Amino acid sequence: MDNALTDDDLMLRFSRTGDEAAFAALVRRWDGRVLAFLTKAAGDYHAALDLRQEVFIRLYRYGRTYDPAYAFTTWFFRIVSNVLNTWRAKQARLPRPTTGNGPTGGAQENPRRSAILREIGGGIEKAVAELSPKERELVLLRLHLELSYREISEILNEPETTVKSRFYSILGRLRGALEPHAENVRSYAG
Amino acid sequence: MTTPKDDEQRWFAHFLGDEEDASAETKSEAEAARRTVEELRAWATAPVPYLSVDPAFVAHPGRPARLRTAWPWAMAAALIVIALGQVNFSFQVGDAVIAWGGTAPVPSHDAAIGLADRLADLERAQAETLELLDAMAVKTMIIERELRNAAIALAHNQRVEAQTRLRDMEQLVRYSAAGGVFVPVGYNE
Repeated sequence: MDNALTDDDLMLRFSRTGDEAAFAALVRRWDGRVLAFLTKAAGDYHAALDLRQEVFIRLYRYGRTYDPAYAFTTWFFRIVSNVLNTWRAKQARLPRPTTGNGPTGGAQENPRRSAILREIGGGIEKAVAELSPKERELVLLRLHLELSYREISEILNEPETTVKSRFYSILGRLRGALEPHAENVRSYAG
Repeated sequence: MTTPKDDEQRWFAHFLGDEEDASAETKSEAEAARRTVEELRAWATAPVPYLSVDPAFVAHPGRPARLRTAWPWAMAAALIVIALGQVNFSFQVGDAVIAWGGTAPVPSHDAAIGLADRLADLERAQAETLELLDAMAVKTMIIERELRNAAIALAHNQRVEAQTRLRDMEQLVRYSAAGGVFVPVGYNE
């Protein structure tokens, strides 16, 4: 498949003609990024592997409904967001696990690294874990995918101003959560 | 008149690249905003172990993979021919005697009927053999893919671990340069 084709071109081709090579090219392009996004948004690597598969199955199944008025990224991450919402609703009905599962969770966390982070104040992972799943999703849309507030508002179906103020509010809270760790570092340093 | 919250938002906007604000680079209070954005961005872009997904499986999750090479078919056909060469039998249906094998003493028109029926039996046997071979090939492909994925995951895990160690060391060095760091008792690595 021609690498010069944009994601929008590939999606349009798959949508109009059912070209499976175009679909395969899209999967290969987005596979890693979607897995990283889902791992951090869900906080569970193994769940993210299943969610990633569900995302691409939906992409294949609903490909014909693609509206070229939207950029592929916006349209695609609506699917990702819906898959995450469905998963969260199912999780909410289950008993809460006591630890995470996978590279971003507690189960496989490196104890050496944790000790260092605790001492020198690298509390970002802990602070992010305190965010709600929807807030983590917003942070990732902005900083992992580097989407604009307008694109994020289309994905989350919220006004652009709401998205922006919510994001800044999250940053303010994270700054507050990180400040005690920074104080620790300063006190250790001097 | 701006409030501290307004200032903080402008500094966040500056460090995110949303808006320019010169005071973000000069005010010491902006340091916390810069650090927050920097650490959050590092978290958001940190790599995770990567396992690829098979587009063909995603597109057709219920359909097993098909044999792509001709040799299993040729082998199956050869096996059937060899097996048929080893057997010799006959049986009777009504007036017709159906026989297989070089020594069966039957009239030629009965032999033709016998051969036609036997051919149908052979076709069924061939179909069953091919199904078995197909299933074996699918299992082989699944095992091969899982082995490949496990190897890729291992390599990625090692890479991520190495990056993490490097980041930790850089962080330690940075904080050591700032005047030292508290190291827990018994921590030797």
